[in-house]
Amino acid sequence: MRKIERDQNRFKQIVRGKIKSDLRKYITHGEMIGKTGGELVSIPLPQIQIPEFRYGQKNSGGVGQGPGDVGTPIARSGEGDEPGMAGDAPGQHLLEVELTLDELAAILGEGLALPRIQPKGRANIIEEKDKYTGIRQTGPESLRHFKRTYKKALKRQIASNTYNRSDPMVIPVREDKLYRSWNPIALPHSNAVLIYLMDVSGSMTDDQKEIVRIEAFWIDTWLRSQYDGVTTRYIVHDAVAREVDQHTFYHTRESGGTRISSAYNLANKMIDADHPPIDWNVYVLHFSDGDNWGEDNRQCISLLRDQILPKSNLFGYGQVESPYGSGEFYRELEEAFEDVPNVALSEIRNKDGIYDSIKEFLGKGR
Amino acid sequence: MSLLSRKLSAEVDANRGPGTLSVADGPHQITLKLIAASPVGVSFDVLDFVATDKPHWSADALKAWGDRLTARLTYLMEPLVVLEIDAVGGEVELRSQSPSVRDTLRTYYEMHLRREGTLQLRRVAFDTATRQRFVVTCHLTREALDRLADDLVASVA
Repeated sequence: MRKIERDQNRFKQIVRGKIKSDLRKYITHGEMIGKTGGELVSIPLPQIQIPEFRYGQKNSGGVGQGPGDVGTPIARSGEGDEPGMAGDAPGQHLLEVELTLDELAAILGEGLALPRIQPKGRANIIEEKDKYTGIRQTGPESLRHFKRTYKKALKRQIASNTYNRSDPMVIPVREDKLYRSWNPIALPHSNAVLIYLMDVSGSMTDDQKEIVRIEAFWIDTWLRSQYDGVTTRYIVHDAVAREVDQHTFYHTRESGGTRISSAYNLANKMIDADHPPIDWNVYVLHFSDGDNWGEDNRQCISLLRDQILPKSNLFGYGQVESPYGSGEFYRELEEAFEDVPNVALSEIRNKDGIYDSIKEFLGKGR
Repeated sequence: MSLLSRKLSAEVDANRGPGTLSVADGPHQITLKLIAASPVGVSFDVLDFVATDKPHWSADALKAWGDRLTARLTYLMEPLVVLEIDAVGGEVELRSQSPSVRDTLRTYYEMHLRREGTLQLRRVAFDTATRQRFVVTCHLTREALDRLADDLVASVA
């Protein structure tokens, strides 16, 4: 390893350590979510100060010299200058480092001590990939194996005594030419589908949706690092549910009442139609303020127990607190599914609660 | 002052609580789960109002009723807003625009309008310490209660 590579690795370690130590802050603030460009995420870091010598002006004395005798205190409390005015110099700039989403996921996993996910059952889709593994005597010129062709030509010329050492010219003929050939190889490919459900009824405010957005980003990042292919689908609901795109999911607001069962019904239909659990690792994550109307709670629990849970790796329910407090739905689920291993429940009181909530969701390693 | 509010006032004078009292005037009826009453104010858990002359309200009509109520009921602890409209279930929910916060309690009014022409008003508290939500006693001056009864009648007219 070259020295510059060692230095670069060391720098990466410092950056990772810095991000890990401040992970709660980065998770809580949603600022980096808007900075994902392709596969890279920019993270603003405070400047890392490297120690350096500073030279004083020439002939201005050395260390420890100046007015006063040995033992004289340098300053007493209460003495000294008055508090200064606000400065007019530019502030310290932040260093922005770019990380891939996989690096970010690794830091998240280390920071939260998340167990790696074992894809369940078969849960594999066989994907065929071509790999150049063999050699043939026919093929297109673009796939001609230069080295093998000339070796074969050299062998033929030596064997037929037409090779001249003083004039080492090797001319391949048609029979010498060798071409690369490929074979289709079946690779197992673990796929996951993430179905996000969000209550967008009148009682869900923009602050609560921001919490959902931040949490979903981190869950997405982690699950994408665990599977080869992740498909994300979004459902919003008030009294009725519908599938939407990502932008609508985070920005829509309806004034309807809250009937959570409508969203569970739609998610269940989606799983049955497009993501059979034998081929897919299914994740259903639902966020609401828990103010479900009427007798709907009972229907939700039966839908979960009979339909969604048997098909899912994990069902996560995050209850975000509204100005009116937290609804009863969380407690209903807690009572119904206390010991069920593929259910993760989390109460998110504010942005500071996101960190622990992610751990509650992903800490099950499912 | 409507006849209903006068009847209600007389009933409160006669029954200082606790108990349930009910008064009606034509198609309108008010039922109060009274905790206590004095010449100055009343405390109650739930107030129910029924307008029997309109048996089936559409979602739009319920929403309009909610809007009229938010415009009229400006003298309660907090102004009300129409929060959710359940067209499927035929129900509209109004709540205080911003709950009042005192110590660990967040308290707010909650009003439900249903398609049968019923209205229910109560005050709810959420305790951030115990994470529990519960109904608390609603306190109104006698004057505010009279005005509330008048406004409920006027809002369905």
